[in-house]
Amino acid sequence: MNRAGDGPDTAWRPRATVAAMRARATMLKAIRGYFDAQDVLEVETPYLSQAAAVDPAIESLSVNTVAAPSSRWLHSSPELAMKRLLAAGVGDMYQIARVFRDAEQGRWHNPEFTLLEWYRTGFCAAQLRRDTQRLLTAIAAAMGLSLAPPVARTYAALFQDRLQLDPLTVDEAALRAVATARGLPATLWRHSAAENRQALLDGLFATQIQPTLRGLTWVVDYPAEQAAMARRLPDNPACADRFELYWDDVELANGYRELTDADEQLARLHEDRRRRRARGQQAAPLDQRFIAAMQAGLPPCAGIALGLDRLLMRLLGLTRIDEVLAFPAACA
Amino acid sequence: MATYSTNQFRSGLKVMLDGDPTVIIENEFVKPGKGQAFNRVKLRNLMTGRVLERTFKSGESVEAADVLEADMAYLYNDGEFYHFMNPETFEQIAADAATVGDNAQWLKAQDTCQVVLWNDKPISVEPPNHVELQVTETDPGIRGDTSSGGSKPATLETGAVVRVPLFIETGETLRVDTRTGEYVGRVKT
Repeated sequence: MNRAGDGPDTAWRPRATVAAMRARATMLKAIRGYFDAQDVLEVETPYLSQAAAVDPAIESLSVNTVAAPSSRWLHSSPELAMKRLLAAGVGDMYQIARVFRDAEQGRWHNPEFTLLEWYRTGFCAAQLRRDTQRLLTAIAAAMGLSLAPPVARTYAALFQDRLQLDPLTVDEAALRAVATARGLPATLWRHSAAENRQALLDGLFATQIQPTLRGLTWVVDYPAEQAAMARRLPDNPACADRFELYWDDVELANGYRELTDADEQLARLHEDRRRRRARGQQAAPLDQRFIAAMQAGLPPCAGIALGLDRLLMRLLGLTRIDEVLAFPAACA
Repeated sequence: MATYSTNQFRSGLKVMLDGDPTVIIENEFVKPGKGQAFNRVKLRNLMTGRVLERTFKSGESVEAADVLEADMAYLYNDGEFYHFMNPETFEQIAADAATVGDNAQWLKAQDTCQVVLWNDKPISVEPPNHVELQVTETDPGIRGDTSSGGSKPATLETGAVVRVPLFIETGETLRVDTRTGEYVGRVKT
């Protein structure tokens, strides 16, 4: 089959090759086989929700209904709905979901993409990382490939190595100096001191550290300010029990030993909403049913979300997300 | 003043940076799943030709550069300026020697050049990829010398000097690649 060319007569054609589509089907089959063998339940949760992401770094897409404008939101992750299932006692589960994030488009981003999200009750972070590695091995094997095992580095050690600074204690002024020397824009520090520190750390990680990662790398023990929905490490509350998987410089997955404290969860959600308001971002309705589920009790568990389009890109050695999507955003 | 937001960035877009017009060569959207989004951009300074890298916070805006590329016919050099004409509007512009630079050696009257204009002033001149120029001076060819790789210098009507095969004689017209400065072949006249 021909790939789409430049002429208008071929604009209807898919961007991914049939070989890439077959590889995707093989990957999905391997995932289902892996979880089925371990009695992890496949679930589905709504794509259309009454609530939106409150994380200031994520913009949800709003949907008009006949009844009211912007009365529904396309989910940016199935996390909250799956935690409602966990609180209801459903147990180990996974979901392969299309998720939607506004204004994210580029070589590694498409505004809608496929996430594999799963939760294992009673698992600690290290157990879930091993589980992830076994899953990746199974997927690669289904495609006739083998993967070198990942190495684990702490967030702090990477900053120490590459930039000779301690991200847990460094102050904003010192971060600004390094960022300026490395050509980062001054527009990064326009908010509160806490937000500026976080934006500076993000900026330095994305431009100075991420490009130096090689092979499969677990980045573990993020600063507590970047905990999102992870618990803090019991023996080191300055760090979150959060871990990310990179393949070379590409972020593939983000996981947590989940926060189960409903009060702390609620406080973090309110803080995120406050930041959104301060930045003039669209107000995001809080998911009251999620909060109620947390108050009812989330069992101790670890969860992770893996970007399947990017994983497929890396497995096939492709360099643009458009090459693994039948119809990327530009021709959807 | 026109501006572009980072989400409009794409290769070929002309933007102002530190007071100079630049063209975007590469634009990479970088965003951690949980964190600030950036655009890592590679740009070429249109004044100096230098390539630079910049990181922008996504959502920032930058001023558009009023840059236009026009195909113009080269007319003549008055000793100080090189004059070009837009063949459709007959509008004429003059570029100084610093703007034309080394490309001056390929400029022949009536040839169509690509002139880059910033705020209606020329900032660079590109000659056609191939030009046909007459040899004004070269040593006589050595008959019978068939050794491979033999070449000699030849001066062309514009003053350019290129390496040519030994059989080329003064008065002949040659085809030359202006990107490499290499002889391509003889032109039958």
